[in-house]
Amino acid sequence: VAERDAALEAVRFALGAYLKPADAQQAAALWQPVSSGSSSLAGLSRFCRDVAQRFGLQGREAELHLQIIRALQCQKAGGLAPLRGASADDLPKPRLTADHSARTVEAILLALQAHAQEVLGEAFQAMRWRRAIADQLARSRLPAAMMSPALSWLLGSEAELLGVWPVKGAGTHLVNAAYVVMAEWLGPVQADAGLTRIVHALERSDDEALRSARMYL
Amino acid sequence: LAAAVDTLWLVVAGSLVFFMQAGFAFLESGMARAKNTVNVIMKNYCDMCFGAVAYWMVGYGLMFGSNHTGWLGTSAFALQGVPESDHVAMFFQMMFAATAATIVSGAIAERTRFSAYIIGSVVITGLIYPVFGAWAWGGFHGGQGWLKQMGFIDFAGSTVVHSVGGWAALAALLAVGPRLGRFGSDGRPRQILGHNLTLVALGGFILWIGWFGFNAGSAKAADISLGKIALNTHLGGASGAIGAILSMALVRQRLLMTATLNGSIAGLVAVTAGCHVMDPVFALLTGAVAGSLSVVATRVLERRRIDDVVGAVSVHLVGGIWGTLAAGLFRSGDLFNIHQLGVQALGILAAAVWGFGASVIMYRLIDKVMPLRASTLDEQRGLDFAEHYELGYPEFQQEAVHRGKHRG
Repeated sequence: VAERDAALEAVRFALGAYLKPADAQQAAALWQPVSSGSSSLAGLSRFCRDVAQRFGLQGREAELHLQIIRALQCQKAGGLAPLRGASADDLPKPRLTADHSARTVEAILLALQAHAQEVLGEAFQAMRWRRAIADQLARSRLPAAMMSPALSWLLGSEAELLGVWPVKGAGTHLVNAAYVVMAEWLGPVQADAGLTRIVHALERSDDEALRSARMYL
Repeated sequence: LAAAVDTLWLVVAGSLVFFMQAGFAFLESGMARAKNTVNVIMKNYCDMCFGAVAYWMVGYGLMFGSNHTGWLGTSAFALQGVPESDHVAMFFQMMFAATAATIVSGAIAERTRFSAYIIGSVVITGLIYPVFGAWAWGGFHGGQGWLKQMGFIDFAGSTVVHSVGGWAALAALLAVGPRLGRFGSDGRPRQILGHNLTLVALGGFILWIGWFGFNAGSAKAADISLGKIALNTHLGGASGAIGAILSMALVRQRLLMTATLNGSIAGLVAVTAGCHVMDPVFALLTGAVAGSLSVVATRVLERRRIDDVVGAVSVHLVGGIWGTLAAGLFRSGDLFNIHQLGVQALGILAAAVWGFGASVIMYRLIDKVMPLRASTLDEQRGLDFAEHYELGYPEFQQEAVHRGKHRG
């Protein structure tokens, strides 16, 4: 049951990048419990086809499939250990961890996304939003080394933003990329107001790390 | 005594024109968001300072130096050791040059880098404005500009000052692009309200007062003609506001104060070319049409996704073009002279080709050397902080988000 719940959570996360939360929940419910002995990915192709048809994602089945696999792998990655017997080149690169800066930046970005969703309502598409931030990042001065963890999180390969996101550096650039997208989607007045509100809310947070949100502006 | 009074009048008038810089600074900063107030004022302040030096060194010579070809002045650079009367002429003209340059600042406010803007401003006061000025007004030190020889009427600079500044503003707008999020993906404009409309109104009043020096000072002497010039100037401004209000009412638009103020400034711009030769009724008509046109032009620019923060193009360029035509149409005792209208149109065309063409090239070159556009991070934080490390209203911005480096 625990494994099934974990798989469901991963599927919901991957679908969240394409669908509104309620739809993602509904779509994830279509995921059939795996029979014992078979792979947890059994039936995934059919599931992706079903979801694509029901939720207007036709033509993106393969992409959906890939994102779900990545989400599942990512979920299991908590216990991921270097592969035994592999050559040095084959060894996975040291896994980034999420420090408090990553948590703060992630919290700001998620709050911005929620704000945009609240304002736009039905018209909001999480995947488009995150893709737009990724596009903006490509045009920004974000250090190349930080691009990969940012994209991995934005595009759903990682469940959380990993790495270190310093103030006046990568962290500030990532928040700015989201601000630019918000200004383009909602207008600069809404973007300023939203950012102000979000920072004030985070500053009142119980989590001490999040209280430093203003530093990222 | 007459020479002394004339000199005194020109110094007073020049000072009034200088005061217009304060009007521009208030009007433009009030129309910008609070986070860009200092930047707008710095641009207005510094383009006048840098421009004064550039105009003294190069601009005045190009514009009013010995001009035997009709195209360019070739003497009076870095003016000194000249008769006393030349000093006051240069003082007065220097203020005009600053006015032409400062028109750009409001148009491209809130997203243009200070250093790039100042370089552009120096080129406008030192080269772009004086070259066209040499064609229309040149010849204090011998010779005459080619447009002047043809009988081009532009008394105080509807085209020479305002249209040339307006063309430069349009070129800058195209080079720098709209503010972040000013237009939606469907092209619909999003309103970005100015932070202080009281300041905007104060700027409008100051500009209007300054305009009496601008136009009446162009008579260059304290003589009987000043009354008509001042009256026509005032009527132009008043009817400009009325024209704008009528236009807004006609299209069932809400009566915006900013558009009303812009209407009066457009009226003042338009009446500038012919205020010395028009009867008051035509000054009134000229201003009213200019005010209406400023409302229409603002809409047209928005539809074309051109983000002119203060409406500089619709006021100075459109008002200047119309006013220059009106000077040919409504010349007292010689109404609707087609030949004169042709000369006026030629002057307008020459200003377009030179003013716009040179400005496009200039801004492209500047953009290649240093980015004209501020970064998105600077736009997010506001240029006050990003460029000047200051805030316009620190007490009220204590809790502002966009403090960037203050807490960093």
